[in-house]
Amino acid sequence: MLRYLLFFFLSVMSFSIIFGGFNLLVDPFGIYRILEIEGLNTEKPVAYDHARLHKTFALERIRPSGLILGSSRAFRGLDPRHPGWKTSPVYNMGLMASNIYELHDLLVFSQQIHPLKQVVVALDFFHFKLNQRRPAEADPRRIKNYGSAPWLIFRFQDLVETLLTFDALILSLRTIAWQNQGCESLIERNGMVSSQDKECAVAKVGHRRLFQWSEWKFLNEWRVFRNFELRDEKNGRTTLEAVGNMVVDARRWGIDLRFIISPVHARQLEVLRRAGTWQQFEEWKRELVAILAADAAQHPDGQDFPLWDFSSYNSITSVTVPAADQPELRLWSYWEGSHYTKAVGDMVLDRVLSHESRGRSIPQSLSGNFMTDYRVFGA
Amino acid sequence: MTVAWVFFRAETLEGALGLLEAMFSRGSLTPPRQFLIAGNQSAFAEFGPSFIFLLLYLLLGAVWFLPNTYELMGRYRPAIDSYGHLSRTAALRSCFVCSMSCGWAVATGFIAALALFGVGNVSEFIYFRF
Repeated sequence: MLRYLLFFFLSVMSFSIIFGGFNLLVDPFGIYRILEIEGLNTEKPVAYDHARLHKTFALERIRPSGLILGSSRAFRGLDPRHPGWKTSPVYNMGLMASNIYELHDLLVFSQQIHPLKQVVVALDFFHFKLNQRRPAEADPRRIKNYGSAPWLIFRFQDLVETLLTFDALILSLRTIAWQNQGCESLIERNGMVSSQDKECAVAKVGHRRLFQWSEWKFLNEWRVFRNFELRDEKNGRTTLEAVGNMVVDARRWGIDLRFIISPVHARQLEVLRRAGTWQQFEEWKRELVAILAADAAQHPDGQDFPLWDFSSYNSITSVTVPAADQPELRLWSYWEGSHYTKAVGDMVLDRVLSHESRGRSIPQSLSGNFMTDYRVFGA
Repeated sequence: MTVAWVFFRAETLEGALGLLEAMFSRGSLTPPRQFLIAGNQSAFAEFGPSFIFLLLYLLLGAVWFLPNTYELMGRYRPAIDSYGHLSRTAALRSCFVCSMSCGWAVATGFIAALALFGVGNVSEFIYFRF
């Protein structure tokens, strides 16, 4: 009996070590990076659905002094390799379905890991929805109070879950099976997401269907703009206060903080109008400007925190979507109404980072409204 | 027996037929969570629905022909009068009867390790994809 129990115990330990070691080496979430073999585990298609886990570990490994914050629009369009950055390395910390509180937490978390010098925050209207549903993956304990006891406990939990779970084992096998498929969503080393998944989708169904799919999802499935409120009537507080907190922190830490409003396609703006939130959208912009203007007035000799609005109707954002019977036509500027391409993102960064790229002139229509006062529209 | 009960319990013939269809149609099969991709798409889809049926028949065979836990542990008298039929156990079944050997320790250790791995799970982004 004792011999059996001893062998049983040793077997449990051995198999746990073998399975855990397998997960560690295959590393489906791209967080350990111990061994990478071409064709076996260099691509991490699984990491896209666990981006918060993947990117927080990447922040610690890369220790960036430049940061991009925002949603999936930011991680598809804004390039950390853009020559306009005044610091290096830069990491794209864009996350799907993020909200403004999470962006603020990430700013603080990144600063705790390594002092930041320059940060571009790509704001989206949906970031500010009151009581926005938080994805299960977005546990704030992962990015709060870096190095503290609660953070260490959560880190331990992350390590256990990514090494010693059946889920991780399945995802390791899936990682091996899905190498070089060509259409997976892949997070690059700098935090951007490669365009291959969108290119495949466009090649498969064409731009128009992707535009329609995105618009339908926003309106009917995700219902992002349904019951949209910025202000909590119970206590009078607004979600925009998080922007004020970001500005306070940036000023305290001497961070060059720049805000943009994403250059979504005009059809996406029409989705806002259709959802009945256009008035709130305008109010949101006014309040953003008011917060930054109030801060600038309080610190006349301090640095400015500019806000650039690219969400207007212009020749870039109003580009005609190819007809349904022209699926072979390609847009250089948008994948669908919500996501702009890196080409547009480069122009945005040219403007925001005051960079002049040789051979790339920014169309006047995408010049962006540089909003430093209340002249929000048509400045 | 279960099939016959459908007609007794259903309020209408149409309802009974609908229930039977649900019992035997491919659409009523739900794979385990671990086999879901991005929260909704089944990894089984890559192999086709026939694969699920093949798997089910294999598992059905295991249920019918392999020993249950009482039979597995019969040698150690796990419950009152639950091991008297061991002498009638077929050769196939008897080779599965548990003993305190090293082989069984490794096999059960393997299953126990997998079971331990099944306790935790990794939170996934399944809300929506922008």
